[in-house]
Amino acid sequence: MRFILQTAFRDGRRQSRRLLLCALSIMFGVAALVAVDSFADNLNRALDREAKSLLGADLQITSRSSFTERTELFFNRLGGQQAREIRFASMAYFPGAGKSRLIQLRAIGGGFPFYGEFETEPAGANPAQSDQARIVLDPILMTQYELEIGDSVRLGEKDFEVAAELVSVPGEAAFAGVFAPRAYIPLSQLKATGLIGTGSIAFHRLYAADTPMAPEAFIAENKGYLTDNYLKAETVQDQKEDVGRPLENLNRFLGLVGFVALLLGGVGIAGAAQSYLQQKRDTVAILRCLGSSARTATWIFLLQITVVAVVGSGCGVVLSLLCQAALPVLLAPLLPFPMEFALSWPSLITGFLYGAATAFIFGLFPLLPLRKISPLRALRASYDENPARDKGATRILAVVTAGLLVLFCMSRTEAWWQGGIFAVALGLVLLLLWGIAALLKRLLKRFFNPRNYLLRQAAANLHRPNNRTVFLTVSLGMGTFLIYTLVLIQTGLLQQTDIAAQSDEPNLLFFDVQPDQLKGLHSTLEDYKLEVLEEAPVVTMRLAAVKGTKVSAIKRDPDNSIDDWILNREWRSSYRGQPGPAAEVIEGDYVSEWNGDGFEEPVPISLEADMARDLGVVIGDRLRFDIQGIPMEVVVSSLRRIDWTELRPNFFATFPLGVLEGAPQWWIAVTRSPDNETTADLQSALFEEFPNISAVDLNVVINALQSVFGRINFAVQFMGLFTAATGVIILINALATSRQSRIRESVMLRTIGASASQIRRIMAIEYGLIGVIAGVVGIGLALVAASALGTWVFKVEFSLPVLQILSAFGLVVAVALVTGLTGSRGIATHPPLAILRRES
Amino acid sequence: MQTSSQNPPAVNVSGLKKTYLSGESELTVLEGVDFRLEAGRSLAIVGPSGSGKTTLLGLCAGLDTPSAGSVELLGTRLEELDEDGRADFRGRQVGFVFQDFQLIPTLTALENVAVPIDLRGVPDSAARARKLLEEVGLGNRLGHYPIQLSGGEKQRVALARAFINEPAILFADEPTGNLDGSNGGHVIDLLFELNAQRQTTLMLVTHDLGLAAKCDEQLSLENGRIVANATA
Repeated sequence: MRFILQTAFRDGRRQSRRLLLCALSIMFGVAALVAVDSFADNLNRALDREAKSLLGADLQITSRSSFTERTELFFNRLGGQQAREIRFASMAYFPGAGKSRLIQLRAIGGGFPFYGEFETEPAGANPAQSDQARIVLDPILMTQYELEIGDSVRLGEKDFEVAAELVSVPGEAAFAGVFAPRAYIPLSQLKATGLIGTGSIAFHRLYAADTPMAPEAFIAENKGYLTDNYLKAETVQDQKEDVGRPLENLNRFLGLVGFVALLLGGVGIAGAAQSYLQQKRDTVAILRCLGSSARTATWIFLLQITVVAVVGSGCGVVLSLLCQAALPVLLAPLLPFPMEFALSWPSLITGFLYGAATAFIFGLFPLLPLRKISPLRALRASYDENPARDKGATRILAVVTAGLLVLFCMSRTEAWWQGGIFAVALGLVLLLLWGIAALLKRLLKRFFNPRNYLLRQAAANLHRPNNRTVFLTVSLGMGTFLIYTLVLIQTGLLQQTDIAAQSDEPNLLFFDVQPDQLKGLHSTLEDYKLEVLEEAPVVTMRLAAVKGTKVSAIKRDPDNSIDDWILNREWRSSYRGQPGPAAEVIEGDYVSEWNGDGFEEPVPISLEADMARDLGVVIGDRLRFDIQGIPMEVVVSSLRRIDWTELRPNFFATFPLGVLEGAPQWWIAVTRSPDNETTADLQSALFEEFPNISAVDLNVVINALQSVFGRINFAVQFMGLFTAATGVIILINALATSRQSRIRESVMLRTIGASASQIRRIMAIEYGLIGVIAGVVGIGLALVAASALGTWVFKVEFSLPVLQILSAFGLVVAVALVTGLTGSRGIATHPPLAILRRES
Repeated sequence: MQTSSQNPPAVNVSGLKKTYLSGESELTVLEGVDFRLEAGRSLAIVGPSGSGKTTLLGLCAGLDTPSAGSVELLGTRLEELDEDGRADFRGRQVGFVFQDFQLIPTLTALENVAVPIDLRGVPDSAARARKLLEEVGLGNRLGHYPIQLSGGEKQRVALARAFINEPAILFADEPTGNLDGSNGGHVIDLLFELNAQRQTTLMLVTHDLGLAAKCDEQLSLENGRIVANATA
């Protein structure tokens, strides 16, 4: 053992820089994993710490309509401390600026919050503890309209005095106000605004704390009542899961992206170790001649690989400390509570072990053939040039490695099959990258035969014996593929919204328009030379039965396959004579009109195709709706496919004309405003005339989307960068490996008359070509993956971003060139005599 | 050949045959090779390129296994040992000198020389290696790496390494093949001097008839068969 340790140290000592470089292959992967896991750990700790303040109460019960008298009695039985809130979207008018905009209005009363702080600046302005006409506003409103404390804001028919700026509310992230800023008023002042009317869309909420019965027990005991009355009850635990799950999913995804960097690092270690150990074959043969057993000789290098694995993983852990500080900063605004950065030892240790194990396992592949090196090699250099592979052992190791990788992926996804799919997809991408890179290299050899010597020499370098072309291409290509796929998806999604914003599509949506306000809306729009492009009545209803089975029975059925959100949701349906804009009938016949002024059941309706699939109904199946207390039997007569990306009034269920005209309803309308100024003026004018009508500006929604998406995307790309960085390290490793033979070639070329600049050009062309192949393969695969994801997952159409593709391609080539030339410094100018003397 | 001795011969080769597969046909490199070499004597194997000299040396040293026949070193039949057993035997009884020196490039001259006894955990390996290096005139090159040494110096380091475990038999493959006349002569003088001091059995392969003549016995190979043997 002493000999093994001593020789491993002595042998490695001269090549410590090279071994360190080899170790760095794994560094970025480990850093990515540890950073993500630490973030998750910190998040969970924060969730536990802030659990109760996430809800501000022990229990929250929400209804989409006002609470009935029976429900109020039900709440009395619940007991404990109680608070109320009504929240809905509304327009607010800012007299100082003379402008209005859509806000989320929240009227609160009672002792809310029971846990945590309702923080304002200045402090102590919680509207729940006040009866005065004072309002607390999101900071974005204060800034946008240059508001000061004491200024006035009008909601409906009532003026409010600005009491404070909102700092934080228990359970809400700063991003809660990104789509529409929040405004809080006392519940007692809501009626005076006149904003809540029949059919208005509002959430009514009860907060309870210190109830005699534990919230979970209360929910379990009253499940039937809650379900039948469409009351949604949430406890602290539910809220914790609601907040944690999306972030957990994001974390899992980031972890998998980090895992790709780790995997690539493992492949990098295998590549670097292979070329390192290839040069150790003579040493093994000599040692065996001198009396060392094959096992002893192999152990020497196994020990070196182990040290490489440990050092690489250790460096990754150190780097992760920096990244751990970065992730919370990136994602903090998405969190509903402050999150402190703390060292997560379990994450550090597991990340270190994952990294070391990956490096070790991948390092074993090139180590196995060493056991078969014959001592005869010391006598004849040509002997054993390619030692017989220990196929059995290599296959076993490959199967074990693949199994471990799949298990790792499975352990990091919510469902095991997701991990399995990820692992298989990753394997396929790697194989594809490998195959295409190998094919391109062959094509280059076969068809790329330019007259220019420099080009010919550079191309020949790519397929010389022991070349690393395919390996380098796969490394760089994988990084390119990952990052560019994400960029393309983001581009595609934003392109879609940009198209909507820039074309003649509607960009301003009005809702909550009462039937008697329609004429006035038209006329106001005409004043601004605008017209209503589409309008539709909206009738709210709930699903009461599917194919003869009551919804309450379906909900209790353990085998029920219909999602709760469909059964519980308030359906906003319409009636119209045609399928509607951006909708296409794909099955059955659309019935335009039904029975004139009366109606005969079942009424033929049209369902959106995906909704019909989720409900498990086909043409001819029956449903029953509860239309604000009146049951109505309907039959599915047609199915429609709707393009939801267009801002058009469309509905899951549409009724024929002649049925719902008499039902309580409100209208939705869309128009196209030419610019932001017109939009602002129109919103103010409408507010003056119809304060209850809300106008949604599509540009604001797009900006909000970009803001949220941008942060998440940046976090994902940040992880993708680790993969690219691993690719660069692998490239540097390959350069270091081949440096001596390159110096020999360079010296030989210089001896026969080549200038240093010609040698530099040969190298530049060679690395450029590697960049070209990696770019073509990586970007090509990214285009395929992004369009597949775009078509089947995100349902967006991609138009090829030619300029962006060219820029990305240029960037990949530049990275390969810069890394290659930087790593080859000094080679072109190496003095020929010195190298000849050294090599003799 | 010396055949009369009460002790077992240092090397006893009988019916030795070695074939390789070359494509689908079988290539016979050695056939019907029989000879003995008594302890303390030296033998030169000569013959044209491709006659099987190096193959014979490799088989005698246990670096490869014969297709038929046997090799007995100091009374031990090598074919009865497994791979690790042969390695252990080499470590204890055998020394090597190679044509292209075969020093481990990442170890210093001192460390290279010490490897055979370090392998067996012998204490004071560094002191013994230093002494031997001084004997071959490299006392001032102990910390140099192979790349920093000239060809003659490298072969002297290799000589020191070959003798450090006090082998009973020394195998040398074209020990002067990569050296010029002056350096080659110096290395040969050293080799025979060290050999004589330690009473080592020496078996070497060479093209150099002058060097062969210095050995006690000569064995001439052609097409894998012994065509002549002579005793000085």
